[in-house]
Amino acid sequence: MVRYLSALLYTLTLLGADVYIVSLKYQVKESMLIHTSLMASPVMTPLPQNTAIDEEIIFLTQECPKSAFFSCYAQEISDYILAHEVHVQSFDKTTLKGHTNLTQLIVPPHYLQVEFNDTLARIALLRVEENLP
Amino acid sequence: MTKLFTTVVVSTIAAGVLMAAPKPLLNPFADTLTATTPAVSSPASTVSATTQSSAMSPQTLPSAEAVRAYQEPLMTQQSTIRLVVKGQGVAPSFTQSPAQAFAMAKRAAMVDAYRLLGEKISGVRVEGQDLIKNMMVKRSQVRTEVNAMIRQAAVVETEFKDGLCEVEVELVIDGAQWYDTLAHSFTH
Repeated sequence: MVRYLSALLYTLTLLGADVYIVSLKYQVKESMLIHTSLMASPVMTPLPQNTAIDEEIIFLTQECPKSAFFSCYAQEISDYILAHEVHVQSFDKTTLKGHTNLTQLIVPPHYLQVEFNDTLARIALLRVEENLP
Repeated sequence: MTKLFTTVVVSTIAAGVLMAAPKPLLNPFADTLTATTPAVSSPASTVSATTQSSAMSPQTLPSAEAVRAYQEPLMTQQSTIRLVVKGQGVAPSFTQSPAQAFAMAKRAAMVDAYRLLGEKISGVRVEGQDLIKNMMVKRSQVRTEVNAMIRQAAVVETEFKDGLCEVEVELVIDGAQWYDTLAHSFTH
């Protein structure tokens, strides 16, 4: 009975907002962007206890379906995620022949809540107690 | 003997071509490379050398007194430090539109700015290795590494000109919150 109730509660909470797992990676070599990836996947397991961090509103100006939200608004979402927490790794190597540099920004997987209204989408990172796999 | 001479010449020219291959505008060795191999330098490397030399003209360098007087802000438990860095990024040559070039250059500049912030916060790990054989340097390399976690940095200003994008990123660190964590990260 408790299981059914918790499943119902979980479904009800997801009706108003979608929750995704997102991660981000940028790679820059010799001051040029060589790789960029924004991975997003809908959450398929019940969410643990969480709290929303700093909400941001994205105005839906482009004509794109809900399923293509991440590809249409990748820039805005990336900026929002980058402003919160990012892991920087940079490797330089200088030899007698020259100099090479590789810098990467990595945002590890985070829960992202997206709430769609008519002309805007409200996004918020979720801070959870347990770590993601 | 002729064969040996030919081999030496070919390898020398190959090395010269390799060193004069087109480099990004921000390569700090661009002027050095052009100066050492003027005969085989390509137009691209010449342009980068010019840009580099104009950017490093003596008028733009701070005076010796100013350098001596400058002090890095030190964080204490009572103070708040505001770090402002300016990252630079170059648009790749394969972009299909100016908008894409701007977007990619901006991303590259942001990554560079975050790296500079990481250098300030967590420091740089430096490893050097020289191999000397028969009183001659056979191999010399310096590796540097930055590894940092940055939170709540904000982009203040973005400027895009001639394929080069400059992004100013600001980070405010509250000493009361972060002093212990950062101090321990340096001591261990």
